[in-house]
Amino acid sequence: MSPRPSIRDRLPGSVVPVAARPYQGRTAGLVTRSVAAAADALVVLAVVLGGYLGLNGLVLLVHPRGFTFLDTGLLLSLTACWVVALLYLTGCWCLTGRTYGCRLMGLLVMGRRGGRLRWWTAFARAACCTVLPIGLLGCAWSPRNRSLQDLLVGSRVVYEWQPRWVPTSAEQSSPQGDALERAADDGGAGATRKD
Amino acid sequence: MGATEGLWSAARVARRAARAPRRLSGLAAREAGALLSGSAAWMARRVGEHVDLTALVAQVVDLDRLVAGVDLDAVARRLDIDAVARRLDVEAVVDRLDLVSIVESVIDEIDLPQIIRGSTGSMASDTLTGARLQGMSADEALTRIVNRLRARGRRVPAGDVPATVHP
Repeated sequence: MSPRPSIRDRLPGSVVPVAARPYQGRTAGLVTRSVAAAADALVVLAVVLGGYLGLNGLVLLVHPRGFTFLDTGLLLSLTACWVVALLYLTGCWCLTGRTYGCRLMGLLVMGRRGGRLRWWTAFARAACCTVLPIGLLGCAWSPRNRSLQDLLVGSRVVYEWQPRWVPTSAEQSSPQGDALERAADDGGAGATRKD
Repeated sequence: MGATEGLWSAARVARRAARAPRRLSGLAAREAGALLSGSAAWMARRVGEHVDLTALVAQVVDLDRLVAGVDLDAVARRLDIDAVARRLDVEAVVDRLDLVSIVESVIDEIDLPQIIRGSTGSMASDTLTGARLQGMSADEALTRIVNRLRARGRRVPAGDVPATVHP
């Protein structure tokens, strides 16, 4: 006789409120994703600002008498923001599938086969997001709520309130993953859209 | 009592009657009664050996009617439930229950997550849940608007509609 599955395994999404349960696994829309992106932008700004202040503190320690705030031009600041955003988004999507903004809004970025993004896919997606952030608007018009970045790298952003372990795309078998993705798309976007 | 004993008893009665003729009637009645009861018991045993009495009773006797006349409440009152419970294998009974399904249905019915959030959750988590729900509602509203715009964009004037639609 096979061992009985634990209650935790038998109750997926049990900490999710009843009102939000039908949405779990569906592709997220523009509003939620925009809020998450704004939160991520704030995180990047905070990191860059923290780095700037830390660097100034270091200069103050080295040259206390002749200390003045470092003059960083607009180009350097923007480049720093871009690099930090690139690293931050790539790392988060590759390791956990969710950035701070995604965690805040209960979103999960998944790969083509329903698993976590591989690092180069995450990097490409991060590059697309940072170079052309307006591509996010595409998810409002896309039948499957997919932004320009999603279409380019084959990713999906779904509502996933309860943190769970997500296998990488490489760990998923392709036919099953494709079937899962199709089922999620049919049940997700298809349920919210009528086209 | 066997048949031989019955004969012996009859002979004994005859002997006593010969000795005391006046006491004959009373003595004969007593001995005849004893003889009859012994014979009846012997006959019943012999019949029981050859006939399945249980099946016979089940066939002939209306047990439902018989039991209907029994005061089961009185029997239950006299029953020592504690002693029965002590002999009961509770673990075997619990193993037969699908506790996970029961727990699932109970949690779904009472919305346990909401209770936990209500008792332990902070104002921040409530705000966060509200923001997420609002976001999802806004997503749906936006989707509806976009769908309406798309439907309007696809609408073709009546004169342009082809007579037959080929798949």
